[in-house]
Amino acid sequence: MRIVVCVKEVLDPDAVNALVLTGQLSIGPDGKTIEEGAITRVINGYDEQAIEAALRLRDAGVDCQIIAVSVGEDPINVLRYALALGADEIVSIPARDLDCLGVARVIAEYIRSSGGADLVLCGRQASDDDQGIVGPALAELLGIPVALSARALSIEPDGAGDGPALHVTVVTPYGEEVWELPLPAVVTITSELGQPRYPPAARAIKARRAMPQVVTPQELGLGPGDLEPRVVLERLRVVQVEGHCQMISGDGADDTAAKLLEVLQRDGLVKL
Amino acid sequence: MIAVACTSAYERLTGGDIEELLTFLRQTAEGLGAEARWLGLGRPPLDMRAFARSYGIGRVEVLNPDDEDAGLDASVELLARYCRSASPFVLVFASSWWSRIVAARVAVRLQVPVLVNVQSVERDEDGSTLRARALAFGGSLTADYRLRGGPPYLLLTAPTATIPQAAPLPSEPEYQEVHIPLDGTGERARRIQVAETSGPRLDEAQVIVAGGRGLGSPDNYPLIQELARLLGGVPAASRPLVDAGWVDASHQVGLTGKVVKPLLYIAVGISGASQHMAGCSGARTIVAINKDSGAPIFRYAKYGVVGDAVELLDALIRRLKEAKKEAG
Repeated sequence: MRIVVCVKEVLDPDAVNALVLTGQLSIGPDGKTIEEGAITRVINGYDEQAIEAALRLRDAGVDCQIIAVSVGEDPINVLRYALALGADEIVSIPARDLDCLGVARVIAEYIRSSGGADLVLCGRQASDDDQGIVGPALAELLGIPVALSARALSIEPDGAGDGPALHVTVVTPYGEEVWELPLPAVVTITSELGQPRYPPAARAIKARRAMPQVVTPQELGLGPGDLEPRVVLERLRVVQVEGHCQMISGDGADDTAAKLLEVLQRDGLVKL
Repeated sequence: MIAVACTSAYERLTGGDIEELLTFLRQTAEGLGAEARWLGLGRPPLDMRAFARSYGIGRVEVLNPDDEDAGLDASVELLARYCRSASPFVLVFASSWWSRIVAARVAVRLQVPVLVNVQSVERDEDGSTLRARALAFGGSLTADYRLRGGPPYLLLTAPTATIPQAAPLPSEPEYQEVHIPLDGTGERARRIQVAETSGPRLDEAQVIVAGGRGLGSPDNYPLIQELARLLGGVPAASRPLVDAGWVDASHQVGLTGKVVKPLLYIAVGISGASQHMAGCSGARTIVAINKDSGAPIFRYAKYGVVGDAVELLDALIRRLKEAKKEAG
């Protein structure tokens, strides 16, 4: 089966957060671009887990070809990383200033033009814009079902319809659910899937010089009019948090605990 | 012009979620000069009229109230039809598993914009586009977007972005049930195992005690559970503990876990990364216990203790047990 995994290159979210916390993150003169400085670009963590989900299906004996696709200005490093992890093919679609629906449109056209997909995997959201729209939008564009925030996947030979079906364990705020989806389908992957593997050394070395197949939106029959963004970023701002924490300390842990419980009792939050 | 809040029985929203959503709807509608309506899909899990009255909503519509759960494909079809016939200017959703699927799919079908994690929205000068502010980078940044190509504009609210506020004057909402037969819209995805909702829900808890990496070892997590029990609360954890397998995912608080809004949130050994704070900043009072006095959690906390998490947990548990004994 053909598994397409969508991967995005993002600014390292830990580095961005660390700079925000120390008040050192700067936004460029256009008001909407983070000054990268020493911040590295990495594969979106959830997308890395989407590759892991595909590799686990392969480990479970599913005969599959894994294609990693990325839409962006120059996503070569994340695609090489995907290859090192175990993708069979890497595809770069150069484009900029697309919104989530534009990205979904480009990937949908790529999938259609390249022989389709039995399963499309995405991360649950990108760690930069936190939107999580591309997965469900892709499903609608391709006319196939979708499940979000999966932590486990399996292919069951006998689905309710004809042929195999996908069983997806999804994480929701009220607990876990299992959904059965006929293939083809789109599934987004959440961090509860667990730690992704490291690239095997030999593959990592080989991937270093690999070049992705490049497909342009024009080659997919998409002009600027088709991809004009409906959601346009105009400004980024660092969230300011004003602290006014009252510190509580006592003579040793027992005294501190007693003082803390006293103020909480006074505020009506704890009954002693 | 109308602004519509859209909910489904599937979402299992709490009363608090509904109050936030309806407050966001009313504020948005007032800002746009629009009429506020509430559209429910499937059998309403709670008294929609009572909530609508308190929150000043003009009209409540329920589509297919006899359906236990409208289903994903049916919901997309129903909402797309509703947008074509009622022409709402904005549709607002609570952030849920269901709304993320349905709003994105409707946006594709109608070729209109959709935005997630929205904090606030205003109409642009030219009247036909919207400006919206959304959370980004796990809540460390906000992003201002211009949305064009609607109406409708589909917006998912950022959890806890809105403090529930009943309307100054209650409304007398119109109430209408609409039955739309959906022949041929068979559901493709089938739920074969439903989540069990046993035990207290984290997102409804009034008191939460959450542990983080500062606990040092999984052996110390039972102290969090014990303190939570003594305070009549629910234990929780930050993402590193869940990822490390100490605690199962149903206890995770954060942007990618649960968003909670208790009266009291005690964060023990949690540094306060923005992803975590996005899940708990709606708490009325945050108490931070951390050995690093520079930890960002202290910026969000009302009360802070700098010290060893385990020692302090032990002491708190001892003190509460003594107090219980004294009370007899």
